[in-house]
Amino acid sequence: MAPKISTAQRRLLKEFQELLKSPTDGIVAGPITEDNLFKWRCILEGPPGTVYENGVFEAEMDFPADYPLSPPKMKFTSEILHPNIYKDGTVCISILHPPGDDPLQYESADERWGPLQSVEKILLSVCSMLAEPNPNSPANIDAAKLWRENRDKFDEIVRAQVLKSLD
Amino acid sequence: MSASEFEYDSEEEYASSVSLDELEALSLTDSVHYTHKNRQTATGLSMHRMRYKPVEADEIEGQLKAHIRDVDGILQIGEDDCAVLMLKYEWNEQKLLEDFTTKEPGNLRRECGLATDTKVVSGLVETAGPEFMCAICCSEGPVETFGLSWCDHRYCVDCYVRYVRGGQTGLVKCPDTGCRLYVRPRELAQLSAFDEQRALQKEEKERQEQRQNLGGPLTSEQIMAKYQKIASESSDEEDAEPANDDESADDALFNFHERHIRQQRLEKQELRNKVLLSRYWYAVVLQYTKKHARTFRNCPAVDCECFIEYRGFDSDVISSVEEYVAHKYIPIVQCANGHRFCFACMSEDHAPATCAVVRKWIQTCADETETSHWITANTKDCPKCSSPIEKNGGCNHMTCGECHYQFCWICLGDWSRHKNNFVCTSFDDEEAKKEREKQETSRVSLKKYLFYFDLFEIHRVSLKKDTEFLAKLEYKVQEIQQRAKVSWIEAHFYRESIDTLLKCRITLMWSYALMFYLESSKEKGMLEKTQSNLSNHVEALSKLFEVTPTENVIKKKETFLTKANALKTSHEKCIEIFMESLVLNRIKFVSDIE
Repeated sequence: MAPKISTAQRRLLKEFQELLKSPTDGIVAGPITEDNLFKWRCILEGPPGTVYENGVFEAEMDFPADYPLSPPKMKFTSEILHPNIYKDGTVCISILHPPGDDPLQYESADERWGPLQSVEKILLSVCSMLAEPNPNSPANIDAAKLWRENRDKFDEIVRAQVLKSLD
Repeated sequence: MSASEFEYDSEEEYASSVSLDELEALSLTDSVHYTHKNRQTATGLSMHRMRYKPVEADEIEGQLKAHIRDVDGILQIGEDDCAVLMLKYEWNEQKLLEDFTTKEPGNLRRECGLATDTKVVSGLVETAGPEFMCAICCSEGPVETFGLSWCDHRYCVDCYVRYVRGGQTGLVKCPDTGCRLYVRPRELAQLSAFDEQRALQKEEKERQEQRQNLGGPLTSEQIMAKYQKIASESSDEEDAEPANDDESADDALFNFHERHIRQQRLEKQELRNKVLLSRYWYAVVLQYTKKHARTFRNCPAVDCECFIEYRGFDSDVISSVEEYVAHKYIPIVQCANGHRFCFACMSEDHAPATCAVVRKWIQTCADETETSHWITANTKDCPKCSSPIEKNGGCNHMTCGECHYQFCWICLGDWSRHKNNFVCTSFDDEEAKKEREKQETSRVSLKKYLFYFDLFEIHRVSLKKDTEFLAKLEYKVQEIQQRAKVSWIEAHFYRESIDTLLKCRITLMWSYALMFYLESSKEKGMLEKTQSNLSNHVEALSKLFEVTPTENVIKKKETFLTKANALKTSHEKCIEIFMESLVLNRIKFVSDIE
């Protein structure tokens, strides 16, 4: 008897195939090992025209067993300074939060997690988050403060991280 | 209860709009409970009592549906649309009515995720052809799909059911990311009915297969499958039982009651879990009660789906739970499943300790217990500088690492007097005696804590053991009852006795925690007497349970009843006396509790 494939596995496999078939610029993502579809490694290019330009940042994604009902977790493994990324690399972005915390905030409902969001959409959102930080809900308060009050210093640190990411 | 009562968001409004007499009349017709049985204590102190009503989820569900109907009576847009609007406005009827009259109807509908034309459509579950692929699970057709008729987002039934079950608020949005439409109860009913029917068919098919299998001998594969099924089921059961470690002791408090009503409750809950639409309404109820947390509280016992409805106070002085707690009252309530908990801090029954004492006690236990236990067991303090010393070798000649004082481990006297003789002979020596006394006072505070902690622990452990032991016994008694053809009512005393015993143990346990924080006084002495009186009654009944052979239980009914009634009276008196002392501030706390 062939091993039973769960919904999550089937869906992840499909998403991986789609990403291989029609790659999106600046994004590479796939399972780290063949035997575990629930852990992915992603590589993001810093969006052009931003201070992150030319950087190549690595991140890992952890998928829950009930994916796509629940969102995955995303964590940068490369050093990256950003107001919406925790110091340990965990990404804080609305698309990774399930809706329902505040039902009246319907404007943001389509930016929240839902079963029809995908890895590709998450990564695209993260790219636009890199381009436009949201200083209103900072995950890394020091970074947010620096970004607001001393942009030169902020840019300097990020540029050093970009160089480091190319090693 | 009339739907108009839903207007009261806070008890201030509640109290001001209904007179005390009206409430009194209400309490007669509508089973309202009180946190304390008597209005006056034996000494004539009139107490402030909190009123409450244990309600079950389906009762609230019915009230909410009636509320929606009422609102729809004004809006005239159909109950399903109205339900979505109410959920969207988080039951703020006023705001909804205001927006409904001022906003352009099309806009309001769009904002609230309602299609402009919500005509009733049946047959939302369709079988899709092989060209269909579910965008959620990526499985391909032909497969049964579900979707709203006013948007073209369809997904396979399995995914849709799972998606709805995962919802938390009762508002079910179309899974499509960009689509803002909500699935109304009416559409959900179709999905639910299909799901239910399919489950029934599956069960029927399994039963048929089983019947066929019974015909011939089982193949080894079938046996294996059966074994695995049973094994996984029994391991599930083990998981469900609380483990025997200390952390689960809190669950154990509730565990016993649970056995009583487990079957009934599980059946009800199972049904609610099974039927998608019921699950949906439960989510609606949860959302509503969370929004009205001042009035409704969900029972904190694991998996209990009962609620307590707050009904104000029978007092002109106190008007909120916070005030009540500040007056050192303890609002213990009991849900329909028999779980007793504190309405203020939502932890299990902790009378006569106040909420503040409970918090402090839990914190103290977390900080102190392990360390202090080890220190008393393994160390003595240096007679000179009082630093704790651990004995790490056999020799009784100690040299303090801090002050280098040399002393004897046995008598705590100066080592110089032992020089000629390695055997400690100076135990009765005056100086050594003084040292030992000093040692004792330095540890007295720790000892005091340990004393009360031990008592607390002893009763906690007893409670756990009683719970287990009596639960086992009860099954036996039930058996006997059936065999002897005694009616259920006849044997009911046994269950009641058990309940009383467990309740009193909890009280006893927390009374020791309270005692730890009290300054010595005449009043405290009196409380201690009350406490030991209760303790005697508890042990007497506990003993009776242990020594009575199961066969004789029914014969011994009289004895059980006498002992249990004595305990009950003693318990009521005890709670009352403790409460009087607390409320009248007759006792002082050692450290300032908050």
